[in-house]
Order: sequence, then structure tokens, then C-alpha cells
Amino acid sequence: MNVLISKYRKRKILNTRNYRKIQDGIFVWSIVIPAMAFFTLFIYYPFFKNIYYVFMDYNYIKEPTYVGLRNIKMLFADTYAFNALKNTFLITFVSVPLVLGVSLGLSILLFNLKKFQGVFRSAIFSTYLVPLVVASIIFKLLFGTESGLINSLLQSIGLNKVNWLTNPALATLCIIIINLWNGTGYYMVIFLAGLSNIDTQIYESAKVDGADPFRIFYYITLPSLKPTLIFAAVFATITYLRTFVTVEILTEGGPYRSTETIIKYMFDQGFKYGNVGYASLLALVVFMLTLIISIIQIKLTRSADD
Amino acid sequence: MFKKNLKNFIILIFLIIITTIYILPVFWMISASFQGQGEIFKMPFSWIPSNPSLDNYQYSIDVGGLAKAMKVSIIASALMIGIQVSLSTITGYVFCKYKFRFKNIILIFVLMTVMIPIEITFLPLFDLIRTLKLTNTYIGLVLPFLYSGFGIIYIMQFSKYIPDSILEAARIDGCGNIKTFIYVALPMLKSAISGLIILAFTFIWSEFAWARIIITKDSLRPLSIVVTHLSKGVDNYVNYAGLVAAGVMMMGPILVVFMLFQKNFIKSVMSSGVKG
Amino acid sequence: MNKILKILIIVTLLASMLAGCATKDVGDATGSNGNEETTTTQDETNDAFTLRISTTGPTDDNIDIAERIFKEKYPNATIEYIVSPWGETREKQLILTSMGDIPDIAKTGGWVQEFYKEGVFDNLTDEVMTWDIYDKFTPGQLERMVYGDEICALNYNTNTILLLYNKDILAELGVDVPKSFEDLEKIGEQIKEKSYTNLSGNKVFATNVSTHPWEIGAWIWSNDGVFMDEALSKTLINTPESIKAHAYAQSFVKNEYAPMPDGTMDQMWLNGQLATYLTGEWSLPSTFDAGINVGVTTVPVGKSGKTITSTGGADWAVFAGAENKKMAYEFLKIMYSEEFQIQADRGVTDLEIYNNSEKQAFWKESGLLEAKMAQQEQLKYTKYQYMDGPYKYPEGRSIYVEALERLFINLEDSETILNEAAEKINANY
Repeated sequence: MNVLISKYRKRKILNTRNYRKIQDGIFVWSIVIPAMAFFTLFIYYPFFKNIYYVFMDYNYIKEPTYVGLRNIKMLFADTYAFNALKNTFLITFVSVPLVLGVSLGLSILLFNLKKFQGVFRSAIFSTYLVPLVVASIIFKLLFGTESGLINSLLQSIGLNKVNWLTNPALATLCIIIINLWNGTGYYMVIFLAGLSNIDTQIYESAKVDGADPFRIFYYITLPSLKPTLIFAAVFATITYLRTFVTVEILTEGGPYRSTETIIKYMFDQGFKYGNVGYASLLALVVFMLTLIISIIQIKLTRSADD
Repeated sequence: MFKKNLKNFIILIFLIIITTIYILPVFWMISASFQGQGEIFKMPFSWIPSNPSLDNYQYSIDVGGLAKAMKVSIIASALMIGIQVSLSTITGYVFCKYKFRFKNIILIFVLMTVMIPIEITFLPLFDLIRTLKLTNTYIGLVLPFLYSGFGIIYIMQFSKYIPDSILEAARIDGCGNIKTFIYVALPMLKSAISGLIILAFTFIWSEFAWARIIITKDSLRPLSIVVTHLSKGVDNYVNYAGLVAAGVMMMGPILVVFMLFQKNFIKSVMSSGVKG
Repeated sequence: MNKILKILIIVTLLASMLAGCATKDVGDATGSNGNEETTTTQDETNDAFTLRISTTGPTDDNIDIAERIFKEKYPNATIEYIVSPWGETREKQLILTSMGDIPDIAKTGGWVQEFYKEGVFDNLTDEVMTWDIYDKFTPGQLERMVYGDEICALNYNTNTILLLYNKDILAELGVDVPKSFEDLEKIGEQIKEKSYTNLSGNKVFATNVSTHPWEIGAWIWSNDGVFMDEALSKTLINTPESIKAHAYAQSFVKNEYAPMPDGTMDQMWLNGQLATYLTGEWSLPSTFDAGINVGVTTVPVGKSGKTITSTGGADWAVFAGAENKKMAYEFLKIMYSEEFQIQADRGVTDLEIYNNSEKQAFWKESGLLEAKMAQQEQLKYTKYQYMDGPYKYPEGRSIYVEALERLFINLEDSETILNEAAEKINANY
């Protein structure tokens, strides 16, 4: 008798608002605070140290010396920096829709496939697994004008040789192609995870109602994928704004700096020319641009929401 | 009936063509890894090597030290993935399903960490790690990656698909926060977690910018460093054939992991989102 | 779901355990023998010490042979290698210096003066002048090793650009081994006249140009151009002679005697698409592997009979903040001793060693004799290519590279391009 009553009371206590609130509070903060601490120490502290360097003349060897706004003034007069930004924007704003579009298309086709899903998935994902450094080296060989595999394949179909790496526009295209090749598998994984979360019952009822594939896609699939799409778009933008490895290996910024991206320029300034302050400023610029573009992306997609 | 089969058939053919184009370079890699340094550049390229040899693999293991590097990479990756995925999952879940003060600000705080080019954090971090005497250790190798802003937001997005009604029901049944998380939320996040494991694995497996700063001992170099070493080499010369073989060996483990974990995708496709 | 959780936990625990164990056994590399011997003449050789070397690998450059010889003399020594890929070694040394974690010896490649200027490296002049090898350095080697009058590095395994030629192609064209750049032009014309292609129908070229300052030195110097003035205070790439030399190289691309450089010259050579290839001995292993019937000779002469190329190889430097300078000098001295240079398959810095019969027999076996003899001859006429590592203004290199790319890829007017580049570079001196 006594045991039964106290059990009931216990439950009542356990379910009272305040007790739950405290419990929740402990739970939440014990998760959130370590995360905050980590980010403050490991990301924000170095970030602010970088800002400190912006006002310094530093080459990693001597002690930093204060130079005020000199680096900022240099930025406004620097044609190479603007060139790098232009190249970076071009690469990013072509790569993002291209990569996301292709990945989405492939994942939808794969999703509806009955057999062999695993084979196709693994095959396409394997391209993401090739380390970017190795992939860039291989593509450099494939894109060779006189001796590359791609040109020899083109010639065997009767087309002309293309000078992939010596034409500025084509060289940029090569970077975009590598981005596409390497990134499709990655975003395909993300989209497949997103698609698998959509309630199949909605699909069933739509089919019963006689809707055709395009209407299903537009009115059901897309909206359900929205969080995934936004997430992928923002992440892709952030990634491609920071294109560096492919450029460094494929073209080293050439021909004549037409593929030099802002992060490559930043690395060169910081490590090769001993202008750490200027490099830090460029890093800051990249960060702010990324922030602004991401905010715009999120706002745009939110406003298109019903 | 016929129309449906035709449609499926066309899709299949289309997929086969696209996939073949995509994996051509990978085939090239695998084929080239069995050929000699001079052979691989002969045009037309012999897709099936005329005298296949394991010399390149021998070269990568002997000169490159691939076996040891593989061990290092596996241990470091396991450590990093175990910690990062666990932390990201629970943190992302909390961010999604719980209200707390300053939530919006904290959210932006986390989101911004994804936008900061992580390369710029490495040098000041190195100073810190050095003072803690954690250079050339596994902990030092994975420390900057234990929490991932990306992972948290990723799980947060997928947690949105968990209906609040289920969580409420669990509560009423008397589950505490932790129990709710483990027994209710986790099963529903399975596909997201699998995805995250794969993405985290591929990230840390090929991560070399931090590793090359913090690791100087030969015996502790991860695979990514060793492979990039083979590409930039001892002097001017790049041994492409050796590099490609190393690249293939580097891809192996992750492909295996992917093929194992992707079954979880299939499982969650079979079962619909909400049961009962 | 429980399963995933369980797997994750088990994996993490396992990994942490392994990580913990591994760091323990890898952690202590600075163990010493600690034998106290009483018979040696100097006290220092009794104490255990560690020599830290920043290089590309524990067996690269035959440093393991040097280590062996060194340890015979100093059994209590430990050598610790700080390893990095060649392309990142400079950055590694930069980071180590910045953090105050200074090694003893550094393998460098063209950034010595830049670092020396900032006080990172040690002044080796007094020490090196007492070594045997000092009198044997060629002017080209010394140029690369000094900052002003002070020696700050030791050139090692000196190499340079040579002319590799494809005997089969030359035979089919009916031409002799080219001795001058004019000969190369003639080969180009022959190829065009006969519409010559290789077996697979690919286009063949007479030779190659390059957009790397170190490699293009061969073209410019041999054709009377210059890069810098004597005092290294301004660049002279826009003097009339230099412009002519650059334009001459450009004409090869315009006339299709050489392909537009796109970074795949190695592949073209290995595929039999280049009649001659201006490169160094490092291209030989893959050349042999590709089965090319190759010959090696010195770089062709220009119109005034000169053949000049850039001094290559790597350089050893000692850190100014090194703990063990004396031992560092001892170690490096070993690498320049005759004993070492004969044993090492890479380490020939002294040109006289090329005449050693033991070495020649070794080279003959590996098929490198012709190349090594050509190199010995070519090394008499090398200069230091300042533009490859301009320590007063590092960005100058990329400005010059951009100019070369515009010249050889976009085929722009050499006078305008070189004047522009020179202006930008000189503005920073």
C-alpha cells in the first residue's frame, strides 16, 4: 500500500514543471557549454589573433611590429587581390548550382531505382574518396594539351584538340570540372539522407491521385528537401569560395593568374612573401564575404517560403 | 506496364553512362598503379596493363612508409569519428529540440565557426598545443576537430524530422532527457548519423593541413601526409606511378567503410518515417 | 540503434587505448646511450646529444650514410629527423622558427638568403673556409651559397639542366645531336617539312620551353640575356639583350618548334613527342622505364657560343639558434668528405669525384654514365638563378613567372611584357 502510493507521488513530482525545467536546464547546458568552450578556445581565439595581425607587419620570424592601417590601404590598391576575388566568385557561382543540380538529379534517379542502388552509389562516391591532391594531379595529366588522355579521346571521335590548361577560360572550367567530379558523391550522400526522411506515404497518395513525376518533384520532393537544400547550398558555397588545393596543383594560379583564387593568394602572401598581416586581412575578407553570402542565401530561401 | 519498364530501362542506361564517365579517372588510377613510371604516359593508354607489376605498391610501402601511415590514420580516424559524431549528434539534437536562453545567438555563434576558414586557426592553435606538449600525439592530431560546427548543424537539420509528439510521449512515459535521446531520437537519426560518419571519416582521412604542422615524427605521419609527400617528393621529380598506387591504397579503407554503412540508408528507406 | 551506439563506444574506447599506448612508445625518441667513456680527447663527445635535422626523409640524400659515419665517431649521438615533403620544407622551417622550436640543420632550396637576412641561419664562412671542399666549389656553386660575402649555405648534390635527346627521332629525321640553339631550330623545321609524327600519330616537337625561372635560365643566359645586375639591386630582364633572348625563346613556340608549356612536358617526353628535352638527371629513371632510346649531352650553345644554366641541387644550412652548432658542422663536414661522396649514390658536390673510377663503374651499371659526364661538363658553366628565390622581394618571382606565361602562352610582345614586369619588380627594391 505504502509502496504504491509513494510511487505515484514520485511520478507526480517527477512530472512537475519546475523539476522538469531544472532537469532540462542541466541537460541542455551540460551539452551546450562544452561546445561553446571548445569553439571559443579553438576557433575564436585564433580568429581574433588573426585580426590582431591585420594591423601588424609580421613574417613569422621577427616579432610583429605595429603598422596601423597600412595593410588595409594596400588592399584597396591591390589589383591582384581583386583579380583573385573575381576568379573566386566565378568559380563559386558556377560550381555551386552545377554540383548541387547534378547531385540532386543523380540522387533522385538513384532513389527510385529498385536494383543496383548500392553499386551506383559506391561508384559515384568513390570519386569523392580520391584525395583532392591526388585528383588534381591526375586531372592535370588528363588535361594535357598534347599528351593528355582527354584530348586523345576527343581526337579519336574526330574533334579538335583543346588547350585546357593554357586558355584562361578553359583552365577555370577545368577547376570547375574537378569540383564537380569530386563533390558529386559528397552531396549525393547528403541528398539521399534527406530523401530517405520523406514520408513515403505522401508519395503513395500522390501516385494514387495520378500525379506525374514532375509535379511530384516540384510540389512534394523539393519542399520536403528544403532544409537539406539550404544546408547543402550554404555549405557548398563556403567550400568553393575556399578553392585552393586544386588551383595550387593544377595551374598554380595560371595561366597568368587567371585561376588564382583568393585563398591561394592569401597563402602566398602569408607564407611565401612574408606578409602575414596582409594575409590575415585577406582571411578576414573571405570570412566576411562568406558570412554575407550565406545570410543572403538563407534569407532568400526563407522569404520564398509559404 | 511496358511504358514503366521502358522508363526504368532508360534511367538505368543513363545512370550507367554517367557513372562510367565519373569513374573513368578512378579506373585510370587503378590501372596506372600497376604500370611503370614511363608506361603510364604512352598514348594510347593501355587500360589493361601489359606487364602488370606490384612495384609501385612496393615503392609506396617501402619508400613512402605506407603501412605505418595506414595504422596511424586508422587509429586517429577512429578516435576523431567516435568523439566528433557522438558530440555532434547530441549537441545538434539539443539545439533542435530544446529551447534555452540565448539560443539564437549561440546558434549564430556555431554557424559562424563553419564560415571561418579553418586554415587560419592552425598556427595560433599550434602554439597552444605545443605549450600543452601535445605535439606528435594522437590527441593533438584530432583535437581541433572534436567538435564540428558542420556536424552540429547537420544533425540539427535532420532532427527536425523527428516529430515532437513522439518526444512528448516518451516524456509522459517517464523517460528522462538522456533516455529519450538514446531510445527515441537516436533510432530516428540513424541515416543522418551514418551519413555523418561517412563524411567525418572522409574528412579526417584526407586531412593534411593540420597534420603536417603538428606531426614531425616519421613514425606518426598519417596517410594523407605520406601520399602528398609522394607527390611533392624528394626533389623536382614526381613519381606518378607510385603516387597513384599510394592514392589507391588510401581510398581503399574508406570505400569499404562506405559500402558497409550505406546499408543503413537502404534500411531507413524501407521503413517509413512515422510508425504508429 | 543500440547497435550503432555500442559500436561507436567500443570503437572510440579501442582507439583511445591504442592512441594512448602508441604515444607512449613513440613519444620518447630522445633516449640516449648515456655511456660514460673516459678515453676520448674532447669532453663533448662523452655527453649524449641530439642533432635535429629538418629534411625530406631519413634516407634521402644518403643522409643515412652520413649518420652511420657520424655515429662511428660520436657513438652517443642521436639524430632526429623532422620530416616534411620538399614542397613544404620551407614552410615547416618557418613554422618551427616562429615557434622557437629551432632544429640544428636545415635542408634548403633557394630560400637560404631570405632566411639568413632575417637572422635565422648561421654564418658559415669561417668554418667552411677550413674545409677541403672549399677550394673545389665552382663559381656557380658559391654564388648560390653566399649572401654578400658571407657563406650561409652549403650546396649539395649539385645538378643542373641537361639536354636529353631521343635517338630514334633524331635518326628518323636524319639529323645529328644538336649543338646549338640554331640546330634545334633546324630540327623544328625538319619536323614541319616532313609533317613528322610519332608512332601513335601524335605531334612531335623539337624541344621545350619553360615558365619556371630556374629552367628558363638556360635559354636566357646562353643567348646573352641577364636577370640581375652585379649588386643584385635591380632586375635587368628588360635590357635589349634580355628582351631579344626572351623573344628568341618565344619564337620557338610561335613556330611550333616547342609546345606551349602547360605542365605536362614530362608526359610528352615519355610519350615520344619531344625530340629533345631540357631537363635534369631526375627525369632519367622514368625515361628508361618508358623504353626511350635516350642520349644526354650539354645544353646547346647560343649565338655567341655560350652555354650557361642554373646551379641546382639542395643546400644545407645551420640554424643560428641551434643548440649544437659544433656537432652540426661536424655532421655536415662528413657529407663533403671524399669517403662519403664516393659511397653515396646521390651526394656528389665535388666535381673531381666525377672522375673517380669506382663511381664511374657504378654509374655505368645503372646507365647514368653519359648523363653524369655531361653534367660534370655543364656544371662548369652555371650561375645562381636569383629570380627563383629573390630574397629582397619574394613576390618578384611570381611577377616574372606571370610574364613568362604571357610570353609563351599568350604570345604577347616581349618588350612590353618584360618592361612591365621589370618596373613592378624594381619598384620594390
